[in-house]
Amino acid sequence: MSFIKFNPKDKRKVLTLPGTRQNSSKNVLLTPSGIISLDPVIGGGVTLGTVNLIEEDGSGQFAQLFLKFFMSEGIMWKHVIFNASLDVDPSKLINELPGPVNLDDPYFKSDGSDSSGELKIAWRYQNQPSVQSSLSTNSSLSHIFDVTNFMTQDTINDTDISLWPPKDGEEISYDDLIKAIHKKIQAGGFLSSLPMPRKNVLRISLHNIGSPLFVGDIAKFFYELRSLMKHSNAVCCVSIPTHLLEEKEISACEHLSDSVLKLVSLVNSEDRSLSEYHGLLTIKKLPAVNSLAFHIPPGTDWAFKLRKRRFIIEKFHLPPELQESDQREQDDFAGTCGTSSKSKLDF
Amino acid sequence: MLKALISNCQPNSFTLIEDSVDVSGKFLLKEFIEASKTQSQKTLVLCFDKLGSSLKRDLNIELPTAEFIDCCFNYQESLSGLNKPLRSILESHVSFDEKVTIIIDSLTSLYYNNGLQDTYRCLHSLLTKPIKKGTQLMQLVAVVHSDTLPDTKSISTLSHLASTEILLVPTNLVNRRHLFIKHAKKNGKIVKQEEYCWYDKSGVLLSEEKKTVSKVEDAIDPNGLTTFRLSLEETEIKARSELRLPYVKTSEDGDTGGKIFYTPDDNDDWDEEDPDDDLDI
Repeated sequence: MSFIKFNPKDKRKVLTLPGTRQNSSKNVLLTPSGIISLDPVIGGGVTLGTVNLIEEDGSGQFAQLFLKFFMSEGIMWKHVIFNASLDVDPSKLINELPGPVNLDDPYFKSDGSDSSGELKIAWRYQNQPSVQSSLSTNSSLSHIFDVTNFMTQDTINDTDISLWPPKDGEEISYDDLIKAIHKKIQAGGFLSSLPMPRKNVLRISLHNIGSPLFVGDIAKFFYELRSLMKHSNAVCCVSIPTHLLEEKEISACEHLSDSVLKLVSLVNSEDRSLSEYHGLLTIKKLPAVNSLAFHIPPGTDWAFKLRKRRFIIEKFHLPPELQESDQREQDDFAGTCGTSSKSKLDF
Repeated sequence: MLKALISNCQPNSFTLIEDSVDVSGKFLLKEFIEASKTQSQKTLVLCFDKLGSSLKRDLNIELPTAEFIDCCFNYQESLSGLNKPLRSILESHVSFDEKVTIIIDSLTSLYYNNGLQDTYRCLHSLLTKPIKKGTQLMQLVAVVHSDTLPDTKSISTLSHLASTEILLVPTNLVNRRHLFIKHAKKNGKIVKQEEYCWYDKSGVLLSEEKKTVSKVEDAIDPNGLTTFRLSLEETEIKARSELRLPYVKTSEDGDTGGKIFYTPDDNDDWDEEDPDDDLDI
């Protein structure tokens, strides 16, 4: 066995595709995920040739939002888009894609500049750097999208978008979907083994795979999908409804995907300490392409907020405890050991 | 909330009623059928458990727009592809551009004959695809006898499709029905409520939210605990803001180095030599 020294100047395999950036140490191409605060968490963007799994239980509304951002980013770069969904009409998903923000909009300008003048008493803290819990990239590739502002029809018509299923059928199996993806990759010239591959990226968004509307074996589907993706200039995001699948099927899907993000919606949570967030994001797996090591994120527990118009991913932390509550029983216990004062302000 | 759910529905909503041998959900079906006359031009009741005529007698409904359709298929024949026979039955009963409400008296026989996946697919297609061109489904109401299904997963799969879930639970109260309602709003928020419902003397269904004793702690007012006055008056706040604190100025100087002013005492033992002289600092 021999090792070939990796030479970054080797230009043979360097491919320049629109909307991608090369990670030179691993010789892979990264493309933005569509959520600007997610990219630094997962190592700069989604890796070309990978299957990225998004798990969510319940209504799955946030997983759907992730897919929409993913497709919107593709539209901005004029990538070719393949959008499949059995549960929701795929053309409806396309029509609801969030559009790019107008950077002159005061709503997006004023972000982060809410420091309220000089501190009079605790002036020592004046020069403390404010804690930045959401990471941002300096990469110029990513766009910011406004959830209230849909993508214009003209921009959508300008992009090569294929929808699946093409027509209503009685029984639709995973095999039909894999065949459609295979056809798209081959006909579109996205195979990376071609001598002159097409200078574009195929973005595949698969919504709610594993819903009871599909017939067939989900594990086999993932196996085939992954091997298809590995040989093409394409990137795939798949959402699965975890509450409709067996434990075993979920672990098979996780095993056969390159990256796994798990979303937990907090919209209906009654825990007041988590009310700041709309959901939690856990990184279960990140891709290791062309290397054994994967990107090590600054943490695995993240939370997301859907502000009025923006979607933000932040480091998850509990809020400061401002008032005494029943949750901290040890304090009460400590109190009884010392003086048993009746009133809290008695001396 | 129950009354509101019955009387004003969103288009394309699916209400799943889960009952059991102890509490029957038939009374709710009656309410839904009667309320549907204001919302849709036609109400189709698909009868799987009983013959249409006997269900109609049971529910005691005289509604010209409601049609009771017998769906007790011949079980000897295999019913592969449930969707097609059901669709052709429905197609023969509706005309173009009609608003339709579909009521299913029980999903149990569908489940046993065709399996969970087919049942799910059939309901999904009813909800997403119009029966005929221009027909609009106003509401789909289905009863499922939760004790006849083998596992809870089947119910949770079916309820994944439902926008409203009404779970009937046995109660000891006389003449009252106890129900749990889970309603998913359009924006994804889920409202959960526990209610009691009953019929009054004139036969009108009434409902009431179950009152839970909520533990509300009174916020402690610190002023009541002490003889000190903890608040400030306006003049005092003004005086405080005008007061120049001795250290404020030094902090704004921007002189970061710091200085030591030291006046030696007469009997100070002043050591000229640096004691750390030999160290290589």
